[in-house]
Amino acid sequence: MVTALKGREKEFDTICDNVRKAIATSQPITFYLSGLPGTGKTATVYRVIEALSDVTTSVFINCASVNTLKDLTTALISPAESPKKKTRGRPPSLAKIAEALSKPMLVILDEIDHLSSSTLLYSVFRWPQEVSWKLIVIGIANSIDLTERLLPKLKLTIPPITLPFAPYNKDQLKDIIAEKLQDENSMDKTSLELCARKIAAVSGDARSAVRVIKQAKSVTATPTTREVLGVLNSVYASPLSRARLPLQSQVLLAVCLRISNNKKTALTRFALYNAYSKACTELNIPAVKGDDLETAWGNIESQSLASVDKAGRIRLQIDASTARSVIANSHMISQIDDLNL
Amino acid sequence: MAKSKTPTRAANKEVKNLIEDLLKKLHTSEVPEDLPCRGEQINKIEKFLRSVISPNGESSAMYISGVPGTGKTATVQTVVRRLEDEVGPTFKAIYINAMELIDPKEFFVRVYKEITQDSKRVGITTARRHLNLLFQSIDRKRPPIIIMIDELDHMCTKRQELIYDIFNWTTNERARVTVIAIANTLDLPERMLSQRIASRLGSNRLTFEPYTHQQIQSIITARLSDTTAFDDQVVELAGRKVAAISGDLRKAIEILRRAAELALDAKASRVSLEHVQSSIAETQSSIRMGYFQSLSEHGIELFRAATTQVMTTGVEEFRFYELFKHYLSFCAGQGLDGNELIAREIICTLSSMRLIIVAATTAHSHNWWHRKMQLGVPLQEALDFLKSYKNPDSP
Ligand SMILES: Nc1ncnc2c1ncn2[C@@H]1O[C@H](COP(=O)(O)OP(=O)(O)OP(=O)(O)O)[C@@H](O)[C@H]1O
Ligand SMILES: Nc1ncnc2c1ncn2[C@@H]1O[C@H](COP(=O)(O)OP(=O)(O)O)[C@@H](O)[C@H]1O
Ligand SMILES: [Mg+2]
Ligand SMILES: [Mg+2]
Repeated sequence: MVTALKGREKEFDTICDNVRKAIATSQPITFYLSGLPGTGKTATVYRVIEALSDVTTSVFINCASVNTLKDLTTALISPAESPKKKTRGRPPSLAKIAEALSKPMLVILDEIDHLSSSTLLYSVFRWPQEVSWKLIVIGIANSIDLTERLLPKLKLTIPPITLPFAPYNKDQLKDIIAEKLQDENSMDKTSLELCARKIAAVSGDARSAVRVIKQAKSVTATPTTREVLGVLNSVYASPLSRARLPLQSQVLLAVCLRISNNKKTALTRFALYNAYSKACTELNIPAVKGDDLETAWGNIESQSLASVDKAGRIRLQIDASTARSVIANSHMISQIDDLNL
Repeated sequence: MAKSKTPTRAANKEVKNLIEDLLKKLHTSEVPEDLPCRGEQINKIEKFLRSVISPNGESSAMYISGVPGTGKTATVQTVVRRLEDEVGPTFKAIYINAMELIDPKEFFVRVYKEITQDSKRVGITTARRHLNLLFQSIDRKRPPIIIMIDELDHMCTKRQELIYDIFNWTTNERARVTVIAIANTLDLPERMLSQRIASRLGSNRLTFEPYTHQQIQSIITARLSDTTAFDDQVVELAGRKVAAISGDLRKAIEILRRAAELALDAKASRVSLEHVQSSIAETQSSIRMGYFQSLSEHGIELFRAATTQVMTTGVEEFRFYELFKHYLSFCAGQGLDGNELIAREIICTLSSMRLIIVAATTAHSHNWWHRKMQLGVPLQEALDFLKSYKNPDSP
């Protein structure tokens, strides 16, 4: 017998029970599964498909690439067929498709927010009611309020059953990793704990957790906390601890820091460049101009140390102490701090 | 060129060959066998690739970042080529530079054609559907596929559905498809890609730090190993210049190439510091300086008016009527006949050159007199432009 993923028993049962009930009474039914990436939505649905295969057929559609009504209908009639077979002309109507079904069909619409229009999004949730109860729609996406935003417009007598998938907690992540690795013994307990704790704190994403461990295992067969920490830092540490800046970019950043410390007014690139060229004169550093200056600024932006908003204002993306550590030249910083810019 | 009949002709020819040889070695399309200073990155990429193409290798993804000219493309391609030479056709490597695609969706067509080796025309939708299906299924007979996407940021569409598909392929561990994505931005996945893509991209990250001046020097010296036409100091100067701004090796090579050309023109026997200095000076005179020099007299006076306005008020933003006042008085001084029509027309030219930035129209700024504008270059640079114009003969 097919069972639920660990930690997703409730969600799995809710879907299976409700589908069976709806089929028994020929009632239309829809679901909306939401949750952050890697919380097991798609994986759960795959298990549901298997568990219900005695009473339903199924078609799995990823809306990232199949996102118009025509594409959807085509996918409904030829779920397993190779795409080579071109369907010329108009595909049959939904009603025809539903009529031809021997068993009810689970229509899984993954990443449903990618559908080409919100009208289409409303209409797929109305299919079971308006076309046939044999189409059982299961929509999946990340945002929890997608259907809430569209519910008033749906005007459904039976709203979708919404199932939020909560991010995994530390212990669940530990179980998931252990299951994926199979040979638990190769993992040191503390580093497993470290990974699970960190991922639970930032995202609760099982996919990330497993990838981090695999990455660490590619460094050494039996990774310790050191390797795990290394991998975690390469993704989750702020970019600055990894950045290295050329001299001119350091000066620019130091000037940026100096000005944004003292002034409440907005700092533009124009003002920054003027202050920078003053600072260079004072510090006796040859100032660069034009495209070189743009390049030096570009380094700061591409390392996410600062950004320019739509109104042209510069915003430091880091706090003052990290900025100092990136500039890594306390002498220069104090010189620039002393200037009257 | 061969018109001189002096006795030094033979010697000159030798010098010419020496420097021409040098120029050839400095050609940017010449990818060296060896990549000094990138040993760590080479090892990491090689290890990664070996694990994904090994018999029980799994689909995976890697993200490589670094500012331009830090050897990302060269390193990835070199490692893949070496591996291909070593193990033969046991895996399939596909390199695509997204910047070269006219439409990012063409990506699917290119990958599809590479995999099927089919030269028939195929539509984007068909190719994409085929690939999605191919990577959903598991076929142990198909060799592992490695897809390199250079300049990943050019694949970003508003909904990011293309990038989603590509990284979604790698979530099917047994489909044996691996993606190596290359871009400039260190934290592009976190900053610009949606969370569901970042999650699929995973935690395999590799950074290429900008080269230091010592590194630039040693890379170039290695590349020019058997030539004597350069002084060490020459390479050092170019290295220092570039490392201070970007650490972009390509720029350093450009400077030296230009220096070698200057030496060749001057019939010098070696490339000297002087040549490098003038080469640097040349590359510095930016595109905007060229624009400025191409301006009409009215254009110059308008630019001078804008600069004066900013200088006297100390405020970046000004309105057209303020600029116009200065412009009229400068025109009078130069014996030019300034008027509003010319001024407006030239403002458009200046704006297309980004010498002046004109704010977008809002409901209240329909009136030209009140249009807001800014200088498009730093004040200091604007002043330098004008200074150079005053005495155009000085070097
Ligand atoms: N409870 C669990 N037990 C074991 N493995 C799990 C569990 N939850 C998720 N996984 C694994 O984590 C990975 C991601 O899960 P899944 O594809 O279902 O995420 P998702 O919620 O659909 O994310 P997205 O919104 O990004 O599509 C899969 O490899 C899945 O097998
Ligand atoms: N470590 C190195 N050793 C030798 N040549 C290098 C090295 N790094 C870069 N290059 C050369 O510099 C140029 C730019 O490198 P490239 O890989 O295209 O940079 P990126 O892709 O990071 O912008 C190429 O001509 C390349 O051959
Ligand atoms: Mg999913
Ligand atoms: Mg490149």
